[in-house]
Amino acid sequence: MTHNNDHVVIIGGGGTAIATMYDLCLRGFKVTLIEKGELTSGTTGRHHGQLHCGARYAMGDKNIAKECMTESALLRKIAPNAIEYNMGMFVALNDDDMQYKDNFIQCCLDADIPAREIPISLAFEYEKELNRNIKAAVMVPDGTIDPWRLAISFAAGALKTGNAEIKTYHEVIAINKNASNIESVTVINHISHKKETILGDIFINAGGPWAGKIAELAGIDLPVSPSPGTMLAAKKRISNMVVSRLHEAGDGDIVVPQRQLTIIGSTQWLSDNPDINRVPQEDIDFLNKSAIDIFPCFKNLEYHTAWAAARPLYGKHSTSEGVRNLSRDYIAVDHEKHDGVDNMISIVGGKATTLRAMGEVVSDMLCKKVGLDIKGRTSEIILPNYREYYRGGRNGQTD
Amino acid sequence: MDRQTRNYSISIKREDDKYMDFSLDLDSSLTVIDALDEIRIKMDPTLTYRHSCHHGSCGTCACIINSKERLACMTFLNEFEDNKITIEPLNSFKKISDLVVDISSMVNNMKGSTYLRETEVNKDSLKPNGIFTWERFENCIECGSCVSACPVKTDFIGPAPLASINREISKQTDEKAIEKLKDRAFESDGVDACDKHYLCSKVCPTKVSPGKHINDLRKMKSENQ
Ligand SMILES: Cc1cc2nc3c(=O)[nH]c(=O)nc-3n(C[C@H](O)[C@H](O)[C@H](O)COP(=O)(O)OP(=O)(O)OC[C@H]3O[C@@H](n4cnc5c(N)ncnc54)[C@H](O)[C@@H]3O)c2cc1C
Ligand code: SF4
Ligand code: FES
Repeated sequence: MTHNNDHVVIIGGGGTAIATMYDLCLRGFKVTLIEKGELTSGTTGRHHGQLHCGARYAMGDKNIAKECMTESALLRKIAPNAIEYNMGMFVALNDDDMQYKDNFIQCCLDADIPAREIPISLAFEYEKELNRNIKAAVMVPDGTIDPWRLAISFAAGALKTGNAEIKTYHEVIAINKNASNIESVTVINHISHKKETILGDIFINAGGPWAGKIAELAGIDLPVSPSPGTMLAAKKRISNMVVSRLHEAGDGDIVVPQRQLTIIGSTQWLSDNPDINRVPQEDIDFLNKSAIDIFPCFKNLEYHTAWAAARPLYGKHSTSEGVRNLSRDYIAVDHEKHDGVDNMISIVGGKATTLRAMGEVVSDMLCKKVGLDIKGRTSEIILPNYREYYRGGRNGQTD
Repeated sequence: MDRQTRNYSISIKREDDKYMDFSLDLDSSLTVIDALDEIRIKMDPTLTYRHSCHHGSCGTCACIINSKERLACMTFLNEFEDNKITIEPLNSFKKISDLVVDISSMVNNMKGSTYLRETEVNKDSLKPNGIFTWERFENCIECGSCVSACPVKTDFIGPAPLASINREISKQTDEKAIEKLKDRAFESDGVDACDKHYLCSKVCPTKVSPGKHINDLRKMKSENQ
């Protein structure tokens, strides 16, 4: 294999950054990952937990749907300990929903998602607590992710190569350029409280909803809209499958069972600040009602908690409606081409389900940029058990 | 739920075991993890603590809150009537900084060929093609609360690792593997080191009841002899 001496610095420690680190480490690069808090303390840890087979996106964007199908199947293979795989069901609750049914199934099939309508009686056999008034049920291969354990399985894979250095509790506060070339980043080590300079050859901005702020440190205008949403959890598991409303993807239309919980999500609002610390009461009330529409017994369940996280959407819009229409796809931007900064790439958007693919796309872009022809191998290798992340001590930190 | 803005006094055990006090206005429906976020973002960016899921699933945020091991993300501010909260890192683990402790010593003793188990929901129903059992993650989220609360100070692998051994024994079909697991549990730092305080079961946020698992193992041991 071609060996290369390039040292890659990744800014961020969410799923995208971690999967990118793993991919590059397998290709032989030395990688330093810098995260201001614990790994996945941004959006990744807090997401809804749906392993998307793509059905949710089938009517809106066939390519996203197709990629989710491929990636969800791959993740089940390479990270089985981080996924509950009980499949998913889309249910039509009223005549409006019914109008989408045939098109929904067709769009799924067009995206290679094996959607299949089942008799309502069978739907009740699978999920006893479902609203008795459902009019149709379609099975799809969805599942549930443990966001933390999926991400640290990738981190464990990276550590195992010996090429990864993980600096948690290190916050990037400056990006230092010499003309068009980034030479280093300045970080504050929140453990020692000291400033440090970290040199690198190539820099990757995987800052999720903070990616716009990070790009700004390099003088780059990267349009990112942090788009927060609320999730609500009740204390009891009432289904095995992920159950979604069969209609155009909207708010409060996915119920994800996880461990001993039932989680309904989500909503969407506009914010310039990815650090959100409020959960609007109207969101909680709305989600509660939406869950009861699908599972009437939800109203008897004990409140567990509600929380919010910000989607890293690529693009800018001044209205909530505009932001809602921004693509859910991800994009990798080579700032040499677009912004005259030679050695930085940003990766923004996507889903937790597509973390591996995102890591592969940035790594391919990086290899091409430095003129190396090394293939990604992350789809072929079963990841280590997530507990391996702790093997070397210090919760996986390497310094 | 009670939702009022109130002033909270939050005391956090930090470097060199010194306590640092913060006073801030917060919505009482928020949690201790939200309060820590608020302090970090608005008052002191150097504050370090672990967190990820914010809904009691990842297990990273356990600390000692008003003298008891709790998940910070599942501890609501409105339960503190005097608005005073003291937050300390877990005991028994090596401290990394502020509220961050190194739980590797516990995780490296955990066993389990799979993190999945059968669900309690609708067990006997028909299942779609390709699904043999409805599955879910194990209860133990590896938060370390039980290890911290356990008063045993001699060599002891701890409640969560022993619970994981018992869970794995119940899932394993291979006799040799079961024997190996038992051997591990019966070493001197295993079940015999437990002093039967059962604080582990009291503090566990996900009702693993490690104490019950330890008793199961103890019974196996006496049957073996
Ligand atoms: C409400 C909601 C529900 C969702 N549900 C699902 C779902 O069910 N299934 C699914 O597949 N996807 C879901 N998603 C999408 C998914 O969560 C995100 O796309 C994904 O987690 C983004 O990961 P990331 O690594 O790009 O960003 P992040 O996880 O946010 O990572 C960025 C990291 O950068 C760090 N950082 C920022 N600034 C700095 C700095 N200066 N120095 C160092 N580090 C820094 C942050 O601390 C953060 O950890 C959901 C998203 C939301 C908001
Ligand atoms: S047994 Fe309970 S208290 Fe102990 S680590 Fe597991 S979840 Fe935490
Ligand atoms: S942050 Fe995950 S359990 Fe508290």
